[in-house]
Amino acid sequence: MTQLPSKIREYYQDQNLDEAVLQRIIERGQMVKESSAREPSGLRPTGVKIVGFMSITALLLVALQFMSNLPQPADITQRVLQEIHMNHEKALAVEFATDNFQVLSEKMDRLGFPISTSPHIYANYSLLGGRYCSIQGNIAAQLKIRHRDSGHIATLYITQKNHDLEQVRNQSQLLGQVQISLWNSPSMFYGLAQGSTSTQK
Amino acid sequence: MNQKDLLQRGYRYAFSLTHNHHDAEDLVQDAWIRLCSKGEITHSKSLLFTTIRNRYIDQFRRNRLIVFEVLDQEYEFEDVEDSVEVTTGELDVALNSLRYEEREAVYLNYVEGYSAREISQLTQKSRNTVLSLLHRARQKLCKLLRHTDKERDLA
Repeated sequence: MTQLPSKIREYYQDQNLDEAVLQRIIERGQMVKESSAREPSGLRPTGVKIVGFMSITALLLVALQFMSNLPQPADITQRVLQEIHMNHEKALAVEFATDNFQVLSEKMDRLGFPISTSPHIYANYSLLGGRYCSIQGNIAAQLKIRHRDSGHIATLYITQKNHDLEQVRNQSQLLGQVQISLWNSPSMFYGLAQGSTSTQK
Repeated sequence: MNQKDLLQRGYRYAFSLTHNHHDAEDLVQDAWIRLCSKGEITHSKSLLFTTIRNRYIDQFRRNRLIVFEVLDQEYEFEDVEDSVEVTTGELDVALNSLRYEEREAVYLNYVEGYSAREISQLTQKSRNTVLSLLHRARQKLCKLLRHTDKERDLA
């Protein structure tokens, strides 16, 4: 008869990250450490970044408002929803056509993170390919996926969370005829856009 | 302990909390990057585990129902038989049925060799609560796996 504690030990000791993933995390950590160490002393780095970000954002908002004459969303959630809606409706072609998430992850090496998502997506959708995009200035992967039952095309957005995206709660909203779901994991942010006639080709 | 070993230990601890490979990978990466951005000493296991735990509590419990289970202060300890035949798949399902606090206590005690006092320091729970969690986890696992063992014998 097998002793339970030793079986449990064996079970957890068999859970390992891939060598490539380990190396990537260590390298990213090193980059972050070096970039933190380069911040000039005597300044408050976060404060400087926030002031700079707000100045640039304010200028862009004024320019956009002047040019488009559209009302500006009051918060980050609305901005993200509208950005995803706009990108989804553009229905741009993929840059990398593949049905394999691992292959796509390797091809999209500028992202700085692996392409992975929730079990629900893997189970219900097949991958068609991906392209680079951005969510609120963060580099993101835009994946074209097809629902296995209905055949409808959806767009999945994956990016790393930043301070702004951390404020976005898990939710699902209808914008026009596009159903947009937003959710997050500890370090990643996801958006799924489905519907609208412009994407059903 | 070198950085890769430390990361692997952190990943296994994260997996004990989430019981999901993708989420555990996200969690350990997030914790590691946070420590690096603060210039923290990243070869400290206790600091890494604490950061992983805090991120898990912040992120994963935000959108879930929190179910409060009353832990009796006094209860009778029954002898729990630890000898069962079990496959990895059956153990995986059984561990998934535990609450995250129970799985965490089991991992820290059985795999990392933490005492109840050390677990209570990491998790900010009383030592009695940790002992309760360990005992309840063992009871649940043995009950579930013994049931599976009997079903296999009957098949």
